[in-house]
Amino acid sequence: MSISIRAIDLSCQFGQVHAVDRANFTVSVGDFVAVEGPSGSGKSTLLNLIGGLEPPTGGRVEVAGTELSTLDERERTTFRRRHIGMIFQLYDLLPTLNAWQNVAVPALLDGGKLKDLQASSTELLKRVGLQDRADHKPSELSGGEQQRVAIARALMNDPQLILADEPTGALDSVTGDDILGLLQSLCEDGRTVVMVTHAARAAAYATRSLRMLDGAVTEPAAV
Amino acid sequence: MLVYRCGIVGLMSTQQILLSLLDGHPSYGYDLKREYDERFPNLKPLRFSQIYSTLSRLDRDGLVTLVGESGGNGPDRKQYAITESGVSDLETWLSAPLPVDEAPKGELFLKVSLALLSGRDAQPFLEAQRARHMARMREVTSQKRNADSETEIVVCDFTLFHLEADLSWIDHTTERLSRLKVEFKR
Ligand SMILES: Nc1ncnc2c1ncn2[C@@H]1O[C@H](COP(=O)(O)OP(=O)(O)OP(=O)(O)O)[C@@H](O)[C@H]1O
Ligand SMILES: [Mg+2]
Repeated sequence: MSISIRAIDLSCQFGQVHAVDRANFTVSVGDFVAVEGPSGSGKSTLLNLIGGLEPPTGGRVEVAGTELSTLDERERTTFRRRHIGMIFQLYDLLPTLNAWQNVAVPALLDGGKLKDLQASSTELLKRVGLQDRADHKPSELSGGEQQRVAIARALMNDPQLILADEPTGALDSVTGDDILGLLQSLCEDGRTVVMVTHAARAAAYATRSLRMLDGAVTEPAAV
Repeated sequence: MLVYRCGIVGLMSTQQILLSLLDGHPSYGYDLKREYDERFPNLKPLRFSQIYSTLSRLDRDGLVTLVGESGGNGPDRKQYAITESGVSDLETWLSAPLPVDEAPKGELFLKVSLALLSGRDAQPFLEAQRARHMARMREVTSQKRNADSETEIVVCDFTLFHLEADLSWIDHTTERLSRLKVEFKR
């Protein structure tokens, strides 16, 4: 099985706070990993390190063999856009674009033309159950709907690796099940998903768990 | 205060309760009962007969040993101490997770309490229990994924929501352990 993520003594310190503290783990292609742990334990920081949004202050992390922190800013942005889909804890949609246009953003930034992207963006909205909201602006969408637009956007460039921060936090349990089923099927198709979650029912969709406590990452022994 | 109510204190638990109360200092049946009643006013009371019969069985099995007999008659003349194999039996029990489906809430709570009461860390048990619950939740989730009917899905969901509630309690208690410890100091 090939390696999707390899973290070696990966650390990130903010002042006195060890947000991530010497984490060592590997994630194989096709894994669906849940990252669990109390608030403030470093879960979002870990995703940001993997996605190259935050430089490590110690150790390193590779995604598909590439150490993002060694690339220059432009290469890093391009790598991320092509290979990684990120779903943030706060969905950060662009307020002036409607739902399908927001979904199209990663492809637009890669040089695509908006009119060529409408069909594929709308198709992705359908996968997250939002086909009838394609023309709504973020301000006209509920929190859970915005979250699903952000999920569709993360899938736009067909990334190998999806990093999701509480992707079902704003969803009711049935819609949440649909989204988790979608992430699960992406893994079965050979994508890799790392998902932060507080909800045990969500973590149970994953094939593995990483637990975080005060920045330290452990993998519970199988029972 | 302990406001937990629990149905049954099983045979196994009676043994472990007595071992954990004996851990650290020898005691008489009467004192063990008094300490138990004080510590766990909301759990099912232990009867004297149950305590004495369990003690003599533990003695026979080498988990406790008779250290003194005072004058008078009746079973309470006997003072018992825990043996090395008693300590190791207790420790094995304290750290072993419960079977998920039969884990009655009282048993989860009892193990945490007895670990703290005997001055041990309850975290390894909570972690092991968490892992076991999560493994079971993964099984049921994959069963749900392969379900043929909506009925089967909601039946799986019933189990999943209940296991999730246990797990939330396990996480919550893990977070509160250091505060809880203080209350159990004796
Ligand atoms: N940019 C920053 N500057 C300073 N401290 C930070 C920064 N980002 C995070 N931290 C600190 O690092 C720690 C980990 O934060 P992080 O956001 O990774 O936690 P989390 O596990 O995602 O929590 P939650 O479940 O609440 O989202 C926290 O103590 C936080 O205050
Ligand atoms: Mg976070």
